[in-house]
Amino acid sequence: MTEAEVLARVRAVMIETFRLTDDAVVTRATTSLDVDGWDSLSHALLIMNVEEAFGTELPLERTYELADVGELVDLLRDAVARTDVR
Amino acid sequence: MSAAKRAASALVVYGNCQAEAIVTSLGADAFFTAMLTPVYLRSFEHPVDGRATIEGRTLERTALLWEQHDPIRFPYLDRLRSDVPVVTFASADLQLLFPFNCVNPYNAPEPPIFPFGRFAYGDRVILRAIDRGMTRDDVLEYYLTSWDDYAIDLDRLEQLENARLRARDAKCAVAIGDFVLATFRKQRLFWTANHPTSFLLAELIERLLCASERLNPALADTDIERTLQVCFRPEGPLGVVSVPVHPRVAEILGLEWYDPRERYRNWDGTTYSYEEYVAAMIDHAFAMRELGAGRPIAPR
Repeated sequence: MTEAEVLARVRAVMIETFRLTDDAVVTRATTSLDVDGWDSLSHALLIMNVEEAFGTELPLERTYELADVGELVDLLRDAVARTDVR
Repeated sequence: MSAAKRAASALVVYGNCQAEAIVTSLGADAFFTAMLTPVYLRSFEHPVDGRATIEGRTLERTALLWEQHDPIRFPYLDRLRSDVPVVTFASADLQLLFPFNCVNPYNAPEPPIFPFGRFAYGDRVILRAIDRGMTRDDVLEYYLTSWDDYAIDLDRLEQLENARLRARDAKCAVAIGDFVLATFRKQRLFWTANHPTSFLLAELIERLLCASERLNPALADTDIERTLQVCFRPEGPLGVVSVPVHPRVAEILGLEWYDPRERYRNWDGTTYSYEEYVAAMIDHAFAMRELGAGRPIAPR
């Protein structure tokens, strides 16, 4: 899965999770400060929703160190690649 | 205690509504206020009052800062005396008890009774059902009877909450996540996802006082548990609003303190059963929707 494909799917999950407009602009540089409702509490639900969307589990210790959407995309790509190998 | 008898030196507590509750609690404790005068500085933008500031005179007499871990640090750090101890502490919160908690797009401030709105804590199951075009009655029926359709993986959420609280604790001098995780099944700790009960608030304050012994060893002798019992209603300074725990969440998590007959409170003193609360929140959402509220939002 390409980086662009992962980002597009993360964007779709964010639209659902945070009830964003359908034309919401989400880039690698988007952070929690850019999105109303994305706080440390709702972050867990975002992680659960992306895990469901990608059919994978993310490493717990890294899910709370993500600085922006780009780092989430990278983490997902790693996790999906590991899942595919198995 | 009268203002004249208060100590000249100040303790500044910076953070969310929990920081305010800490100041309110300590301000009612005569033993504590003879040593320090507690002052609150909120870290967030109040929906009615906006950002808060602090006077230069208060900064000059600040002897101790308790700084809640927050993306925005205490904005006056460079104006404190260099010898002022700074004790960082973790916010006490838990999404696990309220797994559908979210921003409520149908909520709006209605001061003075509802400064944070009538239903500041939204519910994503209800929002999704409304978005799907369900009628008011169907949303209520769906919420009360269709858990299997909208259930969430609470085991995974608990793992994520563990990771979140431990990661934050590791960044703070005073941790509270360890206590929350060890206790939440046995004891009621929260009225909402981020409003602790007096039981948890007392634990947090006691930990902060112990961590501040370097300034004055007597601080740790403050009996905040007794002050909270004597000077406040049983629900404590943050219990004016309470949000129901979903009965199936209580069952699956094995919450020993859960009482299905409990009544839940709102700012205006109204109390609701679980079913009444859900119905009132749905009614409010539909009423606000007719006024044009609740549209999806665009990121900044």
